[in-house]
Formats: sequence, C-alpha cells, structure tokens
Amino acid sequence: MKRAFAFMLCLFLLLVLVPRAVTNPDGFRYDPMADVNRDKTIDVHDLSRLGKAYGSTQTVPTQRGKTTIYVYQLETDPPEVENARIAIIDPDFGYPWYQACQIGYTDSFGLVNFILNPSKNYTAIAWSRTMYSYANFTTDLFGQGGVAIQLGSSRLPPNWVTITLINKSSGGLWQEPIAIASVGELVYAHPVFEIMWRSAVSASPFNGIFVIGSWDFLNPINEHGKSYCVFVDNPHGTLARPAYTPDENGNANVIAYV
Amino acid sequence: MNKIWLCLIGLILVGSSFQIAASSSNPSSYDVMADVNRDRIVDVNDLSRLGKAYGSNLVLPSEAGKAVVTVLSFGKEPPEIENARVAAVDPELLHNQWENPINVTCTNSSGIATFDLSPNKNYTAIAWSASAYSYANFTTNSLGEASVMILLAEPSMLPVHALPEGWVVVTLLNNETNSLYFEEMRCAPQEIIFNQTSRRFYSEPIVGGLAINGGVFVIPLDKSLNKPYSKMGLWIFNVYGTTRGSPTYSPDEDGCANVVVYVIP
Repeated sequence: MKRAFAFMLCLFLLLVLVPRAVTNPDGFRYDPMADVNRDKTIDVHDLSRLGKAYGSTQTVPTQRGKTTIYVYQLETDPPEVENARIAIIDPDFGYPWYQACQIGYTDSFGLVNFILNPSKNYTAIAWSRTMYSYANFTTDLFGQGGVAIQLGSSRLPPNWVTITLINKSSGGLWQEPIAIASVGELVYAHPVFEIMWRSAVSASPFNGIFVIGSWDFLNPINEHGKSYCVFVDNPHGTLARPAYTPDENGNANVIAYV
Repeated sequence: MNKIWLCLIGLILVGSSFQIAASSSNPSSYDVMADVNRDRIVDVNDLSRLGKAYGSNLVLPSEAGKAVVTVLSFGKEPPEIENARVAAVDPELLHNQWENPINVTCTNSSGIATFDLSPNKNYTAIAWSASAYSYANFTTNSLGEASVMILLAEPSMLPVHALPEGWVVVTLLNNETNSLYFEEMRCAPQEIIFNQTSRRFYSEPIVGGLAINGGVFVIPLDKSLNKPYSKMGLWIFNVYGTTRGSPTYSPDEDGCANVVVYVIP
C-alpha cells in the first residue's frame, strides 16, 4: 500500500513538473538507455516500468553448496533463457586444452546448478540456439555462488576457441572417447591446402565440449584472418573435420557434427 | 531557469518517493531494462538518468527526396558515428550487381549518410564502423524518402555483428589506402573440402564465378548455380587477376559472413 502510494505520488509529480521543464529545447537530450521500453520516447511509460522494478536487484538464487548460473537476454520478455547449454571450464584443468569439467542446461527460469570446488576460479560459457557468452567467477568457501550471464552479442574470453561436438544421430553432445584432436593451419597452395600442424591433444573420456586457449605464440591457433581445421579421430577412423576462421578477438565457436 | 528548478525539485521528490517504495519492494521484480545503468540495482541512479532525459524523443533526421541513414553507437558519447561505411542494397537486384552496383557512401560528423533511391521500394542498409556492422530493412515513400537508424553498439554489450540471414557481404579495399577498391574482375567463392583418400584439403573447382565491379557486393544464395555460398563450413574467396587477396571465411549459424578483401593494386 505504502509502495503504491509512493509510486502514484512520484508519477503525479513527474507529470506536473517535468513536462514544464522539458519545453526548454536546449536540455533533455535523448538517452537510449533511459528509454526503458525502447519506443524512442522517454515518457511516463518508462517511468512506470522503472517504478515497478524500483529497489530490486538482480540476485541469482543460490542453493547450499551449489553454484547457480542464471542465463538471460536483454530485449526479451521474459528475459530468462531456457535450455541454454552451460559448460564449466576449470582453468587449472587441462591447460591449454580445457575440457569442460561439467555441462548442464538451464530450466524454464534460466537457472542451472553445479557442484564445484570451494574457493576456485572458473569460467562458465552459455550457448543458446544462436548466441553465446561467458562469465568468470570464483566460488566461496562452500563452493557456493550465483552467476548471471547475459546473452547478447556473442563473445568468448579473448583468444579462446570453443569446439562442440554434436552427435548427428541424436542431436546431443558427442560423449564417447576420442583418440586425438589436433589443429592444423590451412595454407592455400592452389589448388590444395597444405596443413601446418599446430597442436594436438588426447581427450578420453570426452564430454562433447572443449576449449583451446591461446598459449603458444610460436604456434597460434587463433590468428585473425587465418584458417584452421580441427582433426577429431578415434581408433576406428575420422569423426569430424570442422574448420574455422578466428575473429578479430582470436575467438571462434566451432560446432562439428559427428 | 524556473523550469530547471521545477524539474530538479520534481526529480528530488520523485527520488524520495521511490526510496520509500524501495523499502517494501519485492526483489524478484527486477527488470533488466529498467536497470538503466546496468549495475544490477534499480535505484535512484537509474531514476536520475531517466529524469535527465524525460520528455525527449529520438528524432531521426530527414531530407527532402533522400533516404537518410543514421548510424549510432549507444556505447559512446556522443553516439553518432562519423565515417562509417554505409551501403544501400536493393535485394531484388542482388543477381545483377554487375549492372547495378551497390550504392556506398560514408557518414558525416552527425552519423548521417544520404542516398538517392527509387520510390516505394524495399531496401536494406548495411553500416560498418571500425569494429562493428549491422543492418536495417526499410521502405522508401513515394518520393524516395526514408529515415532509418542503424545501431552498432549498446553499453554492456560488445559491438554488434549482424547481417541479413544468408548474406555473404564482400568489401574490396585498397590494401594501401584502405578505401574501397573498384575494378572489373571475376571472383569465385570456393568451399574447402577434405579429401579422405589423399588426406588433403582442396578448394572445390567452380566454373564461371561472378563478375564484379569491386566496392561492396553481396553473394546471393545462387540457386541457379546450386552453390549455397553461405552454408556453414570453410570457404575461400578467390579474386582472379594479378596480386589479389584470397581470404577465407566461415558463415555463421544464420549463413552470414562479412568478408573483407584487401586488394594489392
């Protein structure tokens, strides 16, 4: 009741006082971020929406002993992203080829829980159907925490290349062992491409997602403008040959269908 | 002066009222769009920023007989982007860019680029800054006029990289001057394919290719050639002639790619 009264009071004041002031053509420059409902006019509708949320904070609900990841998107209502794939990367595990140490999917509230080690640094990467983003975070003494990831313009940690293997039959992640995965740079020598080997790793067992960080400046695998190919094999033969061209941040999000 | 005072008093009173409201608010009502400064708290700072802009409109400029494209980045102050490259593309003419080269110009200090376009037609404007690119579809009126905005960045987000679905857009630049390069030439996007027998990668041979005039052009989904140039995978963009760049590109999930070819004149 008190809140409703306060809100009505402020609306009244703004409606009475502010429009008089804004007749001054020199002031009140349009601020797109203040245009809460994105209708190109900053008016009482924006104020009303701000008023409804006033005093709230973006808190990610946490559970005892668990780290909760919350995935959301701007400009959508509701903002929660359901069924986003989340990979937890432990930077101390497998450097420079990080294999995702845990993988999960968000529920209808955009939430997913992980049991992680206490007082440790992690990176969480979230993928929706068309976007991806990440957040670095540190768990507390109880392995507990709440992390929000905003999906917008796709981004990864600088110089990271993520590789996701999808089982073509099931549509799920490829989670059988792979014998070797290596990366070669493709150098064009018309009409063929020569391969300059850059890096190799064995990963068994494999859970479908791994990340290559930039570590070797003599043999980079993420130079902008160059082309690379990931060779994924198992003892029975070739699994996939996904190719990629890193962007200006040294990033690539590689998806291979096995 | 009186008006400014009135506004300030109003804002202070509103701020106080909202503080009262905050004491009984429900944290679950957080609205990320209402969090104007994106600091994860909807508070008096957001209200203050909204108050400063209250009553204002985004007014896009217009010009008689012209289509006006305004390029902005809300991640910087002022938001106007000067010297952004802007192309006005008629999607119906993508298959005949040889005779109908794409109209390209740069924005002025107000972030504005103007075009003379046909009346009552649909167009797509694409804008490039140094680090971002995006597009907007629009329709001209009976006088060939239109006013459209292209937004290349918002605060808290990386620069936008967006193109119409299925479009591979190629820009040919002079390697020395970094300006658009215009010359009649032939080009051919070729898919890079792994040969299991020889265990080598090949670029698949192509007959003909595309005749281009340089500048900016869009590789259409050429159904007649049955070459889906925008399918996911790795492609090389061959420009035939003397010393040309041959960049590779990988279309994204939507079949889009922004290819820049640095031509050595």
